Amino acid sequence: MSYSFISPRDEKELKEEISAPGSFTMSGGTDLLVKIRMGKISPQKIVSTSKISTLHFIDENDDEIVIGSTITHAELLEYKPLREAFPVLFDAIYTIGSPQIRNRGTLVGNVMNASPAGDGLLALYLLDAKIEISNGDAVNIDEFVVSPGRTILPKGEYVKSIHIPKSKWDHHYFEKVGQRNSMTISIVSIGWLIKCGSEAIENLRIAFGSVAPTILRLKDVEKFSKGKKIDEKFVHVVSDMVKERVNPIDDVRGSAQYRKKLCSNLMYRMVEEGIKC
Amino acid sequence: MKVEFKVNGKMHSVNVEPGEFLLETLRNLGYKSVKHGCDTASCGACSVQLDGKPVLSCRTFTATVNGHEIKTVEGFSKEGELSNIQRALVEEGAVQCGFCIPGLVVTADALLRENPSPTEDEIKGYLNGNLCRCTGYESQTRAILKVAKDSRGEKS
Repeated sequence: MSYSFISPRDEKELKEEISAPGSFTMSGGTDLLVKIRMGKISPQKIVSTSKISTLHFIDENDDEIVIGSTITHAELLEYKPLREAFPVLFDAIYTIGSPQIRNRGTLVGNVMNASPAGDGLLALYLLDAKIEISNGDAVNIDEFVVSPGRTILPKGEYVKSIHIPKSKWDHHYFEKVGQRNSMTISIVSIGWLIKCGSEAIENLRIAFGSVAPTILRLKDVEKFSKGKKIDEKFVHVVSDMVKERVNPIDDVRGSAQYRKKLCSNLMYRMVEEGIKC
Repeated sequence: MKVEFKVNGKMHSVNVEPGEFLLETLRNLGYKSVKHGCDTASCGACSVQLDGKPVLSCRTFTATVNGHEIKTVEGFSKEGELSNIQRALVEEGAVQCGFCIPGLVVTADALLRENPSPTEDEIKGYLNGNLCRCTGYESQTRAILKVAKDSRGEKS
């Protein structure tokens, strides 16, 4: 383990440190340090963001919430307005790891890890979050994440914060199916947001995790659902659409075939949950 | 690099490599209650409190705890007297092989401070990062419920 560890005090110093080749930016380290232990990466330098006070904040106004890059999952769960304003994000974060992991890991770290199984990430896709980069750009989450472990973050830049626009929904849902209940990585995860009109869906957003190289929003299913009433017939049609659109692989956690079946079966939760819309 | 931090109220100043993990530092300092289990942030045997919150010492750089406060199980008993949570675990038969217990005690203590009246489900949820392969968590859950009840002054 021959790497150096540096903990800059401010963002200017951070920018200088991360421009060097072989440097990795770290906050809680709950993903990075495990990857080092498994020999997947061998950094020359680790630069910690944890002492930089300007990255540790939660701001809120009428339109959005802004989450600084060193805010941990536990801090978000403790932030009272979150559960009220973004229940789907609260539910997703609550399933991440354990209290020990949530006390160190951050939501921005979940984004930077860019895993197709990222739980917080799935909620951010549903909520149309934007990632604010240190060069001033704000990028939609589905454009920021490219493939497993890869984002468009330019070398020498860092993520300052996540912007989540406020939106009102009547129903929200998040579920992850794993090999067990605790400390698990999803075989398939699903989340949705539903706004009801008069006896029909006014607006629906739906996303799946672990079934494609990134989190998958099914925009055509969302479009199709507008104006439809949620009943068994509707769910039957949608569940077939879902099966055709997800694109999972075989891996240690489950086969592609099982994942496809799981995705379409999970759609029946809409009926089981008793959503009247 | 030089790192200064408190363990169970006692100040320590140590020289460590930048990549050294807190688990190793604590064990070198003699805090042997902190267990080396999976080393991959899965089992929770290395749990300690960092400023009162449970974290995994096997995946925490010693360098990051500079100026902070650590609590291990050694800080729970006073003059040979077990703390309430430790005594309840013994009484409920929650300790079999015992390897998970130091991590469990620091985690359960944090739970009861965050949530003095946890339900059975809340306890099991909070302990999801502390793997115990002996007990099935039944006796541990009973022990934590008992401490919670006792501290509210109710008879169990």
